[in-house]
Amino acid sequence: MIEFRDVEFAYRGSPFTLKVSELRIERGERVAIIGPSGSGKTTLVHLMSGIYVPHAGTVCVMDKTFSALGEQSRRRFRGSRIGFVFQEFELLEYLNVQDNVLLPFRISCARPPNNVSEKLDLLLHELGLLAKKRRYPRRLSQGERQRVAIARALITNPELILADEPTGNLDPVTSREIVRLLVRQSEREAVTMVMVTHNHDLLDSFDRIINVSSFSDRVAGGEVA
Amino acid sequence: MGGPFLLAIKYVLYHRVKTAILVIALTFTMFSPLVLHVLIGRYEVSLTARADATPLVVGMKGDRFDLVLKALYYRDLDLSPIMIAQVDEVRESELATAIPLHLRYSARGYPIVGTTLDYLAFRGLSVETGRRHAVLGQATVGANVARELNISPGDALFSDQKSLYDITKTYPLKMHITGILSPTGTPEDDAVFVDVKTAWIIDGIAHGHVNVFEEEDDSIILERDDKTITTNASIFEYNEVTADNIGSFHVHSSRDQLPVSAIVVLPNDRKSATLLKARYNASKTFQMLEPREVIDELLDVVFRVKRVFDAGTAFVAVSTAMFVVLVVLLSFRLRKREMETIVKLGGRWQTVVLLYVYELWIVILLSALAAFMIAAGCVLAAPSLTRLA
Repeated sequence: MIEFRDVEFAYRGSPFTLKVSELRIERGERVAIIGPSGSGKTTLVHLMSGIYVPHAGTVCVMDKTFSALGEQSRRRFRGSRIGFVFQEFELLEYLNVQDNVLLPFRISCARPPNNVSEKLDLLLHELGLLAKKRRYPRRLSQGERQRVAIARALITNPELILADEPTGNLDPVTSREIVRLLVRQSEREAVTMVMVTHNHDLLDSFDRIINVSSFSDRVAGGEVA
Repeated sequence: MGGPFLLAIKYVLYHRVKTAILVIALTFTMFSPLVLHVLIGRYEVSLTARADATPLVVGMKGDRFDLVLKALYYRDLDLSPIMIAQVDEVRESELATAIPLHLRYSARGYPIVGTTLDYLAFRGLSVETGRRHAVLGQATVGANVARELNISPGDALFSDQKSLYDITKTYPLKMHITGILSPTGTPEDDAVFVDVKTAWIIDGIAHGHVNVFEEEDDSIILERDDKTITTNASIFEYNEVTADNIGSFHVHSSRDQLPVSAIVVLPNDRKSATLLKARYNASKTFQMLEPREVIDELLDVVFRVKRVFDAGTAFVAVSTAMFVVLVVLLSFRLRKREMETIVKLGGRWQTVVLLYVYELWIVILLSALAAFMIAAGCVLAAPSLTRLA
C-alpha cells in the first residue's frame, strides 16, 4: 500500500533532512505516527500524499511511484484516492457544512458519484452533522468542525486517509471521539489510515505506531508498539 | 466555469459587506465618468440638433452665446429688443423668411413665445389637442406646460406680472388656451405660444380699453378736443381679449417701432445666407449669427472642461485600481492557508488563480452594472439635464 525505500527529503535552506530507509504500511492498516516536534511527522505525511517528492529514494503509494509522476498526476491521484484531515480543520469559512464536505468535487478531478447527496446525508448523519449541514464553520464547535473535515476526507471514498494531528486543537474527550470516528469509518470502508499525533492516550486505537525520531537511529521504521 | 466560479459566488455572497464596499468604491469610480460621458453626449446631440435646425438668428449686438441660447431655448427672457422693422427688412430683401420672436414674459413660469404661425410650422410643431391660436389673446401651449399646469383647450392662463410693486405696469393678460402641442422633447414642450401682437398686449404696448368717445364719466376726461381725448389712469383697460372688445385693441406708436427679442432667419439658400451675413457684419447695432458656429464654440469650452475632468477621473481610476490590487494582495496573504488547503485536497494552483479572477470579475461586473444602472437612471430620471430649456 505505502512503501518508502531509501527516501531522503530536505527543505531548501534547512539543515533538517528526513531519511527513511524503509517503511511499509499495508492496506487497511491503521497507523499512528508519533515523534517530537520538528522530527518530520508532517513531512512524512506530505511525502505519502505526493505533495512533496523525495530528493532520493522512492515513495510508492497504491502502486504509484510518486517520483515517476508529474505534479498534475500526483495532484489527481491525491484528489481522487487520498482523504486529508488537518490539525486546523482547514474548512473554508464561506462554505457551509455541506459545501465544505463537497469541496473536493469542486476543486479536484474527483468525480461525484450519482448518489452524492445520499452519501453526503449518510455521512453527515453518521458524524452527527445532518441537522447542521447548512451551518457555516464559525457557528460550529471545534469538535464539529473536525467532524466536517473528516466527512470532507471521506466523501470521495478514498483508499487512504492521512490525518495530520487532527486532535491537536481538541480537548481530550473530543479528541477520543474524533479518533473513534476516524477508526470506525476506516474500518467500515476498509480504508488505510495514517494519523500523526502527539497524544499518547489515543495510541491504543491503532494497529501500529511509527516513531519518526527512530528513523535516524534505525534502518527501516515501522516499529510496532 | 464550474467549481471555482461557484466558490467565487459563495465567497462574494458570504462576504457581502466587504464585497459591497469594494463594489461601491468601484461603482463611483466608474459611474461619474460614465454618466458624464452619456450626459455630454446627449447634451451635444441636443444642442447641435437644435442649432442645425436654426440657420440664422438676428438680435442686438452683444453676447453671441446669450443671443443664440436665449433665442433657441427661450431662457431668461431679457434679450435687448430690436424693432419689428428688422423683420420687414429681411423679408424685403427676398433672401430669406424672417420669423419674429418676442421673449420677455412668462405664464406661471413658462416662457411666452410671441411669434407667427410660421414658427410652429418651421419647428414642425403639430397640435395634439384642440387647434392653434388664431386671434389676439389666444395661446397654444407645449405638452409639458399642459401636463404640469393641468390645463386643456378652453381653459385660461394668465401671464406673469413682471413686477408686483410697479403699479404703472399692465395687468397680467388672461389668455385663452386653444390647443396643446404634441410632445417633441424640445424646449417647445415647455413654452406658451401666442401671436406676436398678443405679446405686445402683455408688454402693454398694445392695449384695449373702453371707448373714450362714448365715455359718459367726465371725471376720467382730462382734455378733449375734436380729434383727441386725454384721460387719466383710471380708464378701464381690458386684461382679456373677447369677441366684444377685440376691436378696441390698438397701438399708439408706429408699427416699425414695435419690439421683438430676436429674429429667426431662414435663408433661401447658402448664397442668400452669405449675403445676409455680410450685410449684418457691417452693422454696428445688430448681429446675425449662425447658431451651429456658436454652439460649436460653446461645446469646445465644455469639452475642454471635460478633458480636465477626464484627467482627474483617470487619476482616481488609477488610485482605485491600485487600491483594488492592494486589497487583492492582502487577500492573498490572508487566504494563503485556504489556497494551500485547496492544493492539498487535489486542486490546482490554476484553480486558486481562477477563484481570485472570478471573485474580482464578479466585483467588477457588479460595479459596472451598478454604475450603468445609476447612470441610466440619472439620465432617464432627469432628461432636463441634457436640455437647456
